[in-house]
Amino acid sequence: MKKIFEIALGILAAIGGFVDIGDIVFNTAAGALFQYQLLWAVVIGVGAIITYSEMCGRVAVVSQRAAFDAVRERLGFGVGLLALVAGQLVNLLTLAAEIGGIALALQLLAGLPFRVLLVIAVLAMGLVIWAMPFEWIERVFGYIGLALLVFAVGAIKLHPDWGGVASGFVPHADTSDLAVYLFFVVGLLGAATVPYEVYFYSSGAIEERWTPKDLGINKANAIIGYSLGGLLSFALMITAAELFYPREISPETLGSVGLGANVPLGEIGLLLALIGILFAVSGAAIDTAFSGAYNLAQFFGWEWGKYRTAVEAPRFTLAWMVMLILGFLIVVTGVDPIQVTEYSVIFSVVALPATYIPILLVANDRAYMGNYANGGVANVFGIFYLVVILVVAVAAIPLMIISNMGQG
Amino acid sequence: MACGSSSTLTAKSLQQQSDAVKSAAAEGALLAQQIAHEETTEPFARIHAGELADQAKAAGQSLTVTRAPAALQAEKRKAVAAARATSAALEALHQAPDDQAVAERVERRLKALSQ
Amino acid sequence: MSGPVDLALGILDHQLLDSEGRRCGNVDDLELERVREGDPRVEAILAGPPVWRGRGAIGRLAAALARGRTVRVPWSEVEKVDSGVRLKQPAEAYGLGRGDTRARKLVAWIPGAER
Repeated sequence: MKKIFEIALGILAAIGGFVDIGDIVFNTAAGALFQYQLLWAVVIGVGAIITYSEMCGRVAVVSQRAAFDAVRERLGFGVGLLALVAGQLVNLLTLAAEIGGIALALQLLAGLPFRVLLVIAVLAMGLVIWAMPFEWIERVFGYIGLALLVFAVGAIKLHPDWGGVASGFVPHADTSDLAVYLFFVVGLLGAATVPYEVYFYSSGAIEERWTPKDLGINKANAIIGYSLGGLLSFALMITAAELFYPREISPETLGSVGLGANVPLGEIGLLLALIGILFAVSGAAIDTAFSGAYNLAQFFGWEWGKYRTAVEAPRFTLAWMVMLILGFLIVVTGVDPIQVTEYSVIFSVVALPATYIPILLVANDRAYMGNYANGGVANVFGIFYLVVILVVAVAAIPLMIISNMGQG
Repeated sequence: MACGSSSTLTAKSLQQQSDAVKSAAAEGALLAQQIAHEETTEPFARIHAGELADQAKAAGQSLTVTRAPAALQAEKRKAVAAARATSAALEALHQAPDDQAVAERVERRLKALSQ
Repeated sequence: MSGPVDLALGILDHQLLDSEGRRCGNVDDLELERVREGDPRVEAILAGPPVWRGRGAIGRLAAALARGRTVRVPWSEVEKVDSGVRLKQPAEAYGLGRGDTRARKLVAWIPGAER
């Protein structure tokens, strides 16, 4: 009974924690431009993050190695360091986007000047990370992020063409601008599989002292949690498909996303949506800052973890603080956070193979994993997604250029 | 926002900027409807109306500073005028984000501009 | 007393853990003996930025940019190898984890750092 409760809590946290600013931006834009045609891409993305996270969690628990331990061990110092640098740059861009997203959400709620809210956002994140225990952070931001379910309610209330929705799960492109369509396929996959999620998940398994007994929970969290999180992505896309597509509206700001809940559900819908966005994106920002610190610490062998006190893991502590400050500095320059989001997602896609491949290798290594090494099913998915990830990583930048960042 | 930065206006970039203006108008109409029915909050309406006004303004600016070939001169003038009208209407919303009467008027205006 | 090379090469880039289970660096390189005699044995573990010079071109670049000393841990100090390389004594005894010692002075200023 207690186990079911634990699983349920973990799933709730995963749902609320699944959506970040990248998902919000890309799913909304995809729905506005292509109606339901890209729902299938979200499914592929959810499958990818489930496969990758489950493997990462299993590797972390059984071998007590988090993502970047595995990267360094498999790729060696030189190549591993390149993977680290690439991963950190992507983390930083993502963090900047999330911090910008927090400020945008606060602005839509409270109306204060943007830059002031940026400072508040960073200070609040810093304080939360400093003062709150690890599990609390995950739970609080995950649970309140569930307010995003309001988009599911709103989407249904907008009476979508369910036949059209169903056909969206079959890959097809009924568009004159194939480059833009493919750009969004890449973007949706990238948004679902942002690297920090995986770095964070694997380090989190060690933070929360999971043992092999907890691997069942690990699998359940990943599969059920992320699948339900995928429903939130569907809801965002379907909302945009109903509201924006017929009116040829191209959503450019977070306010547009808010409008998506405001129109079907009034003031309550708007407030729940904005609060959900605020907490989901805040949770993502915290996870990203941690990821940056985890990666550095794991690569160089420093002590790390929120389960350690700050003086026990001082370089790790300084690392996440520096991440937050750098993220802040990027956004405070006045660059549009939505644009930063788009670039961060595309570059994430390019960097993804560098951490995916070592994890897949370690997950198959019986010397590390013993009986917990990848079985047939895990490898079918693991290799399928390896191919998907490689194809998408190669295609991302050319598509970004040809489609003019999805503008056509 | 489309970012055509060539020195002369092409039909394609003219269309893109014109679409951007219509998009802001259509979205503004939705927002205005929410305000008219008192179904939104003041900070949200104010901030979002301002964002949409900026979008329309930027599209108009981009058109204004780009030279158009003779064939596109008339279209460009129309598009610039539409951009001005749209951003003015959205600006009115931005200045009076909880005024139902203003919102009703602006909604009608923006609906027309979005066609 | 040195250890079999296969096992030792397997621990390259692995985590070093001291007697109290604290992380104190990675195995950055290994000191091998009797390689020319065709009977290679591992004499010691090496850690620290200067050691990275032996890890390729990127390693040399990284070594040039980083500060720190080389630490040499004789193979005899290895207690066992499981998820990491466990050493028999605390990190300070080897001169490991000095980076954290330096950083600790900074972090200790912040209220609540010991919790």
